Amino acid sequence: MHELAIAEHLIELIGKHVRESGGQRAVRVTVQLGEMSGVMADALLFCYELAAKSTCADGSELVIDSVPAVIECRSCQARTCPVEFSMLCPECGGSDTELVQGRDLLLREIEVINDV
Amino acid sequence: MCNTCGCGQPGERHNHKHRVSATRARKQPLAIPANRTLNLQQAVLSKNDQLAAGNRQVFARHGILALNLISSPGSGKTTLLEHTLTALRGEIPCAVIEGDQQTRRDADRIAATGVPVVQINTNTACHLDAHQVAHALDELDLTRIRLLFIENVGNLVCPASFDLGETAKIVLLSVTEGEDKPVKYPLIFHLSEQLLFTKIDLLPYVPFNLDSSKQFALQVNPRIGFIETSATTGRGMDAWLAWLRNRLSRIRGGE
Repeated sequence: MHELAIAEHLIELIGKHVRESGGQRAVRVTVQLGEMSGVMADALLFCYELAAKSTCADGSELVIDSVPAVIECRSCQARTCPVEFSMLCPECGGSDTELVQGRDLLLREIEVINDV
Repeated sequence: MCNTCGCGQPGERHNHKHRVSATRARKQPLAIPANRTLNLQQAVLSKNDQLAAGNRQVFARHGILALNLISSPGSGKTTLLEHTLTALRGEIPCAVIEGDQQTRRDADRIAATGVPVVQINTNTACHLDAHQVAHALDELDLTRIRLLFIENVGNLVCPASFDLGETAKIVLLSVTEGEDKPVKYPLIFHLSEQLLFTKIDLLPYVPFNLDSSKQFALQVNPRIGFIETSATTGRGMDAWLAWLRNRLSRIRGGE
């Protein structure tokens, strides 16, 4: 839904890092996408290609590593993967849980080159 | 124009820091390596998240409780607001930001209660965003407001993904809808502080099971609170008003 705005910010960040590193172009970018980030990978790929046009990331490959959602139960300490957004601990049924992984979209790697 | 650096459109609030890039202090390398991989760990936010953070700061600075009301179309958001604002008149200075695709109809209803209101028309967009809210705030005297209601576009899907900078999201669910809405549309129920059941005067006439619905909601958000109201009969309104007063008193403590 808002993947275009996210892709635009991603391109902005890439441009900043490429410039600061003294490079000229990004050829490959790796992000980590949490399962519960609310961002759809397909839509992000599509929007990334659009947002990258005419920037230093134009034509670059976007690699999306999926990060599973993990909830931690404060009652029994179990760490499990939630199913369909259920926040109840599947081990003990408890509701004192916290989402400890899977919410974020992180920029992890940029492969930079200089054009000769 | 942004007061900090002069960039941007008039009235647009930004949330950016101004700092000198560390690279200016570095000496230029003699030979720039051909290919290299930059290793980072940087959160990617949308522009909306940045602007929402700006709105959040504005609310905090003014001690305003800002509530984002989200529900399907027709759940009773505007009617609830009309009754709420009338009940709080003279007690808590309120304001409303209304979001609809078209018309000023909801803003006119709110204006009739005497409360300052700004209508945002999204035309085709299905949700409000932080940029629109930032502009709407420019039309309100924030020094005279303690409680701001943002009535989002009727939609259980998209508003959940667009932070407006509010203090809390309130999701409304009328008893004429399905009791399993919380698991079918989990994100908004997961993110909301309170689930407000509306039109409870109709319970005798519909198959809606309140307890089942609460169980569904607790699955996706074990910490969600429940309020049950009928704006038209007044039942449950005292509990809703009490919650508002209490929530307002808690923001001073930074909650």
